[in-house]
Amino acid sequence: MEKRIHIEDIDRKTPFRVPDGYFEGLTGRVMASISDGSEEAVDNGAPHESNSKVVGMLPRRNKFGWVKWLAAAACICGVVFLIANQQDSDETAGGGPTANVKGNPSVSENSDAEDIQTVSSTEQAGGKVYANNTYDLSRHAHRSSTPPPANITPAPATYKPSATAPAAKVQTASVDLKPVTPVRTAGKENLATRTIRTVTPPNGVNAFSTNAPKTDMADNDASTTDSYSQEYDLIDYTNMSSSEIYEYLAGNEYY
Amino acid sequence: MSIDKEKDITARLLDKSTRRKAFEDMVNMFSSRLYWQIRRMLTYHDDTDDVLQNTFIKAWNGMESFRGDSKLSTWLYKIAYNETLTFISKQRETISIDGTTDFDDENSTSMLNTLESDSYFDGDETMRLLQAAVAGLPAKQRSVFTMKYFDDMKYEDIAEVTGTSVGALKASYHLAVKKIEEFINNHE
Repeated sequence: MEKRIHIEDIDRKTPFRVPDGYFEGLTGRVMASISDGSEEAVDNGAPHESNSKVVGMLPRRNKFGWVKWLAAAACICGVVFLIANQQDSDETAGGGPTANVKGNPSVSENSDAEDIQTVSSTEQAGGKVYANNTYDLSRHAHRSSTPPPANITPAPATYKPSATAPAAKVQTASVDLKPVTPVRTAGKENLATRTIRTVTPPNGVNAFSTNAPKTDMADNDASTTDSYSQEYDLIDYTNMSSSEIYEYLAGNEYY
Repeated sequence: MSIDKEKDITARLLDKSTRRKAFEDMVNMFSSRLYWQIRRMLTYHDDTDDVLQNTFIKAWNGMESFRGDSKLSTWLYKIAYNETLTFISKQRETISIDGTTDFDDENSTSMLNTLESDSYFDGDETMRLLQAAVAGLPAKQRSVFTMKYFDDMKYEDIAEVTGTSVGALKASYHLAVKKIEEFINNHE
């Protein structure tokens, strides 16, 4: 039967040995290693002030503890700044109704500058203009059965604000709902030159007619979403002056 | 007799004019006790010598903060205890008093082999197993065990040195005993 050893059964003596003469020389070595200035002779029995440097046992105060707080504050400010910048860039990035269209790269993936065309001479064109959306002449050329009038000069691909008019502020539909100031050339009655950009009202209510017939563009874009195509309200600008067009659009809260 | 001598040294340490001589007397009085307290923790003489000298140097440097409120022996034990833990922590051991840290069986086995050829070890096989088992304990638990088992210190005094509650010390000692007995019986 195995005998189990218990700790109380073991002799409690320390089984280690000490080198000979160790303790005799220990005091001298300790006193020699102590840093003090009082080993010099005492004059007339008067004790000298010790010049030894006293090292306190208390934990030393960190002199530069404030640096970590400053670094933390700088990090927080940097993060806030980055988040704010990111939000600003999201707001000014391309979006709006055109971005919601699926399946049509020319619509959903184009930048705002490419999508926004200057609509010129609409009355002269005699065509229909989608009042609440941008009119892309290139699309019309591809999709409409009616070729564009010859006297219509396609607008440049990039949008350049008029020097005499305030630049229209383009914003994404889902974020900023401020109306866009139309660009018009003053003094020219029958020439409506503006860039039209539409936004969705703040409460999500579709201000446009939902019963509007689908346009040719929408028909040709098989994958176009209903929200995009149904937002159209077909208006005949042929017999309307520029001021009437503006008033109509303003009155219908297109801006 | 030793208590009176301790009080006398304490009183002279508080006086700057007699401090140096009193300190020398203190080293003579407590060097052996402190040496064995440290040696049981560290096992090796050279390590013990380093820690012991550091202990006395720390005591001299901290003499300004010594008010004599606690016993001189307790104060020195506390310094030696902290210096030993600092030394062990530098050897990258984990420190735990509740015994949750695993028993370092590898260290114990290594110690067992080292003690076999150590010229400063005088014990038999069982004592060699005991020392090897103690070496496998976590540092704080090791110190509690050695103070209680070898020095037969009261739990209240150990609590004052380690800054731990008496209940925690009792639990730690009980766990240490179980681990040591298991190690010894497995290697017998």
